[in-house]
Amino acid sequence: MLETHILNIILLLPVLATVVVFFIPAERKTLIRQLSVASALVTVGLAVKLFFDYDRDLAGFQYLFRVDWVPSLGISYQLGVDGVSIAMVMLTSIVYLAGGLVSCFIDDRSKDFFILLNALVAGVFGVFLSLDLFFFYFFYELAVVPMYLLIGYWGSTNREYATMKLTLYLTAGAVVALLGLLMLYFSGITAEPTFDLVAILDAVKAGGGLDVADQRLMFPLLLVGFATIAPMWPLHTWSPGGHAAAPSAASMMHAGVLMKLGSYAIIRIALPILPEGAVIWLPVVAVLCCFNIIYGGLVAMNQRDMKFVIGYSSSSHMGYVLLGIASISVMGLDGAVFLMFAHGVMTALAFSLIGFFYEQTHTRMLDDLGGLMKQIPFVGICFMMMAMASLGLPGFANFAAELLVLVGTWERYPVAVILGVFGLVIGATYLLRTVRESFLGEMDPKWEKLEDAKTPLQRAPFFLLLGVLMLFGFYPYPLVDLISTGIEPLVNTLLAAEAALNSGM
Amino acid sequence: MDTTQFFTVFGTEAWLGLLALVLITVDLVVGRGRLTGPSDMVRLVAMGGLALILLQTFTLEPVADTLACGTLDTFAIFFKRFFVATALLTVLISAPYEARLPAGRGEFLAMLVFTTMGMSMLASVNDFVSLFVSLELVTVTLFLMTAWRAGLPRSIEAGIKFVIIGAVAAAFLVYGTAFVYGGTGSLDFAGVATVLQSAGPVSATLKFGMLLVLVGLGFKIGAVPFHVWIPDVYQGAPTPVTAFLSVGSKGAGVVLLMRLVYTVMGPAAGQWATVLAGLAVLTLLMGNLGAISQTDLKRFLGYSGISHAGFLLLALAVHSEASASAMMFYMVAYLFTNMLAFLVIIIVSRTADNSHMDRVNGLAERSPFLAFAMTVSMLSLAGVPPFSGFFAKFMILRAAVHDPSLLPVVILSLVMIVVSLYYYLCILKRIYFREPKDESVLEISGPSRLVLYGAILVTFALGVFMNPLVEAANTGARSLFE
Repeated sequence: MLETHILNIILLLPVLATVVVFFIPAERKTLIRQLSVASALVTVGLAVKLFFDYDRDLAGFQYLFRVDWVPSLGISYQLGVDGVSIAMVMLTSIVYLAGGLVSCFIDDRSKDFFILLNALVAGVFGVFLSLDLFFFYFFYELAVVPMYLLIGYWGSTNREYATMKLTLYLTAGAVVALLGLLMLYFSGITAEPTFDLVAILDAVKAGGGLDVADQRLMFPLLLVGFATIAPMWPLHTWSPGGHAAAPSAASMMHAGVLMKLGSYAIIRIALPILPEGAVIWLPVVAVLCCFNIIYGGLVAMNQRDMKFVIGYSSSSHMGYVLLGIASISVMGLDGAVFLMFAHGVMTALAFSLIGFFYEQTHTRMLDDLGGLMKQIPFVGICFMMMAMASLGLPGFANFAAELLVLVGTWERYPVAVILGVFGLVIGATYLLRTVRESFLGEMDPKWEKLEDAKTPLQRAPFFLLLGVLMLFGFYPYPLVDLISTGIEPLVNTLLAAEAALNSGM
Repeated sequence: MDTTQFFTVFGTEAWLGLLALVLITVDLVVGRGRLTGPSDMVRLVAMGGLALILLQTFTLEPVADTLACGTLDTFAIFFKRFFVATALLTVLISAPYEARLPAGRGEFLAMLVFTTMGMSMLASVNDFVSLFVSLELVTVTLFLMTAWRAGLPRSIEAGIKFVIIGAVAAAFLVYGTAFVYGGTGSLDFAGVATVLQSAGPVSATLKFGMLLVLVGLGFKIGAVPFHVWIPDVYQGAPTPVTAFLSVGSKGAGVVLLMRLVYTVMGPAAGQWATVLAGLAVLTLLMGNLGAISQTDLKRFLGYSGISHAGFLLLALAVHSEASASAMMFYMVAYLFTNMLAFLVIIIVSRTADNSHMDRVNGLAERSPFLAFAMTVSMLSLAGVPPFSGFFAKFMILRAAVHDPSLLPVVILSLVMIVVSLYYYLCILKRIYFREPKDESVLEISGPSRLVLYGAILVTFALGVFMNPLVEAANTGARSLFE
C-alpha cells in the first residue's frame, strides 16, 4: 500500500489538508495549525523514505502510478520520481514544514492562510511528481494563483502592486509554455498525440525525436515560459518585489520552492524532449544567466530593504542554477539541481528570520536597524550563518553546489565561470554588509523591547533549515549521488545530440 | 406531418409548453389578487416541472435519420439537457430576487419556460424557417423578461436596446436566409448542405447569404459586431434574467452556429475559417479590453461574456470534432460558473438593489462563504485550475493549436487569458483586500446555500474529474459530423 501509493499520499496530503481545513470553523486556530503542520511532517517523513528507498542502481522513473484520466485527449494521471524530483520533493516538504511552523504565529484569518498555503504546496508537489504534461501544467498554474491572495492580504510593502505583477508575469510565462507544450503534443513524436511524458521520452529515445528545425522553434517557447519563473534575466522583475511583499511563509515557499519549478521544468521537459534545440539555445542561456549573477548581485548591493537584498540575491543565485544547466556536463547539472535544493533551504531560512523580527520592528530598512545582535542573539546568529551559507562558505550545502556548477562549467564557458566567481565576491559584499548594518554596530534604543526566539516552537524552523544546510554541506555525497542518477542519462542524451548536430554541419 | 414523429423529436418542448401553461393556471388560482407576497407555490411547480423534464431528456434516444420536422441526434439531446438545466438553475437562483420583481411572477416563470422551449427547439431544427420561428420565440420572451421591472428606467432601457438590436440581427438573419434560398432553392439544412458541399464553385449569393446568417446568429452569443447590446442589457435586466441570458442565449447561438458550420457547411467550412477567426479576434479584443474598466458587476460579466464568445468563435473556426466537443464542454462549464457568480451578485446586491462592484468590497469579512463562492467563479472564468473553466479553455486551445493556420489567433487568445486574469483578480482584490462599504448582515437562505454548494462542487468536479462530460461531449460532437 505505502510502496505503491507513496507518491499519491505525498500529493494528496496537502490536498486533503486544504479540504479539511476548509471545513474546520475559523475559531479553532490551534487545530488548523496542528493539522497543517502534521501534514507537512508526514510529507517530510515520506520524502526521506523516498530518499533512502529509491533504487539508485536502477535509476530512471520509479514508483510509477498511472491511471487513464481523459483517454480521448491522451491525458493520464501519472506520477513517478527520479533522482532530481526526489531532491525537489525533499526540498518542498522541508520548506512546507518550516513554513507551516513559522505561520503558526499568524493570527489574522489564519484559516484562510493555511487553506491557501496547503493548496500552494499541493500544486508544487504536483509539478514535481507528475509525469504527464497536462497535469504538470495543471499543477503549475495551481501553484501560482494562491500566491496572489497570500501576498495581497498578508503581505507588506507595496503588496497589491507586487502580487498582481507576480501573478500576471507568471501566468504570462505559463501560457507561453502551454503553447509550447501543445505544439509538442501535436508534433508527432508519438503516433497518437499524448501528454504522457514517459511515452514521449520513450519515443524520443527510440529515435522518434523531432527535426532540428522544429526543435529550434519549440525550445525557446518552453524556455521562455519556464524561465520566467526560474527567473532568468530579463524576466526576473516580478521576483524581488514579490518576495519583499510576501508574508514569511509565502516568501519561503516562493523563493524557496516555486522559483525552482522553472529550472525543474527545463530539466524535466525541455532538455530531454528537445535535446538538439537545447544544444542550440543553451549558449543564450549561458549569456543571460551571467546577467542574472552580476546584475542581480549589483542591484542587491544597492538595496536598503533586507527582503529586497535577499530577493535580488535569489535571482543572482538562480543565475548559477541556469549556468549549471547550460554547462551540459554531469557535474554542472548535478550542481544546478543541488543548488536548487540548497538555495531553497537557505532562502527559506533567510525569509523566515527576517519575517521573525519584522513582526516586531515593522521595518526591514537597514538604515533603521543595527545592533540587533544584543537583543535577539539567537536570530542574529542564525542570520549570520544563513549569510555565510549564502555567500558560499564551505560547510554549507551552497558551497558544494556552487563549486560543482563552476567546475562543471569551466570547460565550456570559462568566461562565465570567471564572472560567476566575481559574482560570489559581490554576494559576499552585500551579505556581510547586510549582517553588519542590521545585527552589528550600535543599537537604536527603540529596539530594546525586541523578543528573541525563545520557545522550541519558535526555534524549530530555524534549527530544521540550518540543520539541513549543514548536513548536506558536510556530507553532500548521498544527495549528489541521487541527483546524478537522474542527470547522467540526460547529459548523455544532450551530448549525443550535440555530436549529431556537429557531424551534421 | 406525422404526429408521433413530431412528438419523438419535440417531446421535451411539448412538456415545456404544457408546464408554462400549468404555471399560468396555478398562478391564477393561488396568487389571484395579490400583487406582491409569496408565490412559493408557482416556484415549486416550476422547479418540480423542470426537474421532471430534465429527467425526461435523459430518456431521449437519438433517432438515426433526419426526420422531416427536426433532428434528434446526441448533439441535440445534449443541448436540450443543457437548456432545461439552465432554466432550472435560473429558477433556483431567482428565489432570493423574487421580492424585487413586480407582480406577475407566475407569468415571469412561464415566460422563462417558454424561452426554454424555444431554445430547446433550436437544438433540433433542421430548416431555416423553424430556425427563425424558434429563435424569435426565444428573443421575444427574453425581451419581455428583460423589461420585467417596468418601474425601473434601466430595465426599460435594457429592454428597448435588446429589442432594437435584436430586430436588426433578425433582419440580417432573414435577409441572409433569403439569399441562401436564392442560392440553393432550398430552405432545409440538408438541401443547403448538398449545394454548399458540392464540388463546384459556390455562388456569391449563397456565400453572402451564409455570411449574413452567421453574423445574425452572432447576436445571440455576443459576437462582434452585435455585441453592443450585451453590457447595457446585462446591467439593466433583472439579475436572474441576466444570468439566464448569459448562458441560455449564448447556448442558443452556439447550438445553431455549430449545427450550421459543422454540419451544413461541413468540409466547405474551411473557406469560412478566416471569417470566423477574424470575428473571434475582434470579439476577444472587445470583450477583454472592455472588461478592464468596468465598475458594475453585471456589466463586467457582460464584457467577460463577450470574451468567452471570442473563445467559442475561435473553436468554431477549427473544423474538427475536438473543437466541437470543446465548445460543448465550455458551455456546460460556463453554465455552472456563471450561475454561481450571478447568485452571489443577487445576494450581495439585495439591500441596495444595484450591482456596483463595491458591493463585493470586503466580502471576505462579511461572509467568507460568499467570498469563496465568488472566488471560485472568478477563477474558473479566468481559466485557473482546478476549476472547470480551466479545462474548457484548455480543450479549445488544444483543438485550435492543431490547426497551424490559426496560430496568430491562438497567440492572441493566450495573451487575452493573461489580460482576463487581471480583471478577474481585480474582483478578488475587492473581495479580500478592501474594507466593506456596507456592514449589513448578508442572509443566505437554506436553498440558496445549497445551490451555491452545488455549483461550487460542480465547478470543481468538472475541472478535475472531467472525463464523463468530455465523453458525453465527444459523442454529441461526433453526431454532428456524421
